[in-house]
Amino acid sequence: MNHRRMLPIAAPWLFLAPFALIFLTFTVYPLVHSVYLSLRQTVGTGVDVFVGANNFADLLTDGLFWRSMRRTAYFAVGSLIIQLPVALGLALLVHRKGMTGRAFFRTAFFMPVLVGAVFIGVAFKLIYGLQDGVLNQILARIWIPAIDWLRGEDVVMNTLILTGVWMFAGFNMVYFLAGLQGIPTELYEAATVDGANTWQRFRNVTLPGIWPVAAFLITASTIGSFGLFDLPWVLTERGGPGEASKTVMIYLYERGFLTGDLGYAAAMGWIVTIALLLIALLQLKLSRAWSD
Amino acid sequence: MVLRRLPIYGLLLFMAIFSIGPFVWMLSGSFKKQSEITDSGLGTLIPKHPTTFNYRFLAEHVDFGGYFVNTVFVASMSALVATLVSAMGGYALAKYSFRGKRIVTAIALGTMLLPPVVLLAPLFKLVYALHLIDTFWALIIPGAASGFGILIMRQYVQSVPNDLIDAGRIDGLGEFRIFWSVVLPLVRPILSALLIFTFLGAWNNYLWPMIVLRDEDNYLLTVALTNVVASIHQQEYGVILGGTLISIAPIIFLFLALQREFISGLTLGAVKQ
Repeated sequence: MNHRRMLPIAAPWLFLAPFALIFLTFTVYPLVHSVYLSLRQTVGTGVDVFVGANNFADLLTDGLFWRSMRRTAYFAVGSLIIQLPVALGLALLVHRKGMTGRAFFRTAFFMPVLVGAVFIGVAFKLIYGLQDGVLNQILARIWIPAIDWLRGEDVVMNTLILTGVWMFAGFNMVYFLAGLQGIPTELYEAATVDGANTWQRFRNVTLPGIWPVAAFLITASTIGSFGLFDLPWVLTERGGPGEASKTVMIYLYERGFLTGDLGYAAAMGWIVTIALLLIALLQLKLSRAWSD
Repeated sequence: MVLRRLPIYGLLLFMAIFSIGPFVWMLSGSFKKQSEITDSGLGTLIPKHPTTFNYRFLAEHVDFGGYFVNTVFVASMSALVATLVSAMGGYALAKYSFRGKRIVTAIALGTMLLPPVVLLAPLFKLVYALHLIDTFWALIIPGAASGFGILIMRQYVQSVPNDLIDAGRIDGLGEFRIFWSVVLPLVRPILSALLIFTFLGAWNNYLWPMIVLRDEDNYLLTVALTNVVASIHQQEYGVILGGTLISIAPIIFLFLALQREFISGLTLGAVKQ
């Protein structure tokens, strides 16, 4: 067989090789290794002991862990409740027929999506500052007392949610816009002919039409919310004050990299992953049930 | 007609101001002298005595230019490598049949659900063992093979007609030549979307670069802004804002120039356009 004829046979493997090599080395191997790590304890220099399921057992009674999970869930749910209606509202407003400047609004609302959480965290510290912050200065001009956005223990999680709305409303809006554009206008016309008013048209044509988009956004947003690290790390300074905004990922990072107990961190990572898997499956089931 | 729509426009404009406001405020703040900030705070929009001091400070005292170049390099290389690797892999999955294809696809799909933080610890140990700590390759290579990338490329390459590929073979073109000159141009939209998506992710990446990079000279903009500027110079508000603006300006300009590609890149796969 000459060189030319051999290539098509070897070709798929050659094309797959770079991906396979990198994927196996840097994704699959660490994945397997993290299961191994989760069964070990590594605190202290040179310590590497097999501890079986101890990490997982300790996690079950770890107050800090569960508090951070609750906090992160609060962020996830709070974000959803505010972001989705806002984004849908914006999309509906921008979507109306014959709206000039639709491109302008889409650009304006999408810009925050591009900015990394770190950059937002650094700059918004100056917006949310108690005395020097722009936000409180603006509030003062309309006679609203200053809010301790970054240091108030009861406030910080809400500050994060608010910032999240600014960051992602445009992202969700663009998705909803695409979804709205996919609804055939004949459906609206038929509904109007049947005597449906605005609210009824919304409920029976629009909502079912964008439900696939909404379902996706809910799942993606939840998964993303549980990975929240950069924003609280920078904006409220490592999940401060105290542990008021310590998300799960921040706790994982601290236990794994700052304390050095990589095994415990690995176990934590797996518990969160499994939780997210269950949530995603649940959302899938619910969305299938509702759309029927 | 417009008059009736006025309240809607008004509302939208109001929200748009909320959206863009912080950017404008950052811009104005970056041109304010520190003395003006301590006197009248950051609440005024137009600086009374605009100055370029903050930017000069960043260039001379902080070597921000160096961090900028690092980030451009890492983000560009990440985008190119990841897109090429995903394109080649996706092409293999889409247009060839071979044993083990199903398994590869299934594994790629499975890893998409993982939050990346799960891999952080073992990945760090691996990178350490490979002596890649404090190198840019540790930032570029691991992320190059993503389940998402290969699967989305496979989906788009599948729509390339097989006849074109066969025609290329009949014409005597080598396999890679077919891939490069026949297939790739036909999937250009998804290529640019993937490039942008990866570029943006690498540009904004914080945690992994912070873990891996040790020498300050190697820092990226994300790490430099938090660990250098915002910590050492934390009272220099104008400098902080200037640094932030420099960090996000390239992305904003790219976005304004390539809006359609950006939006399609960031909404990949979920909505059929």
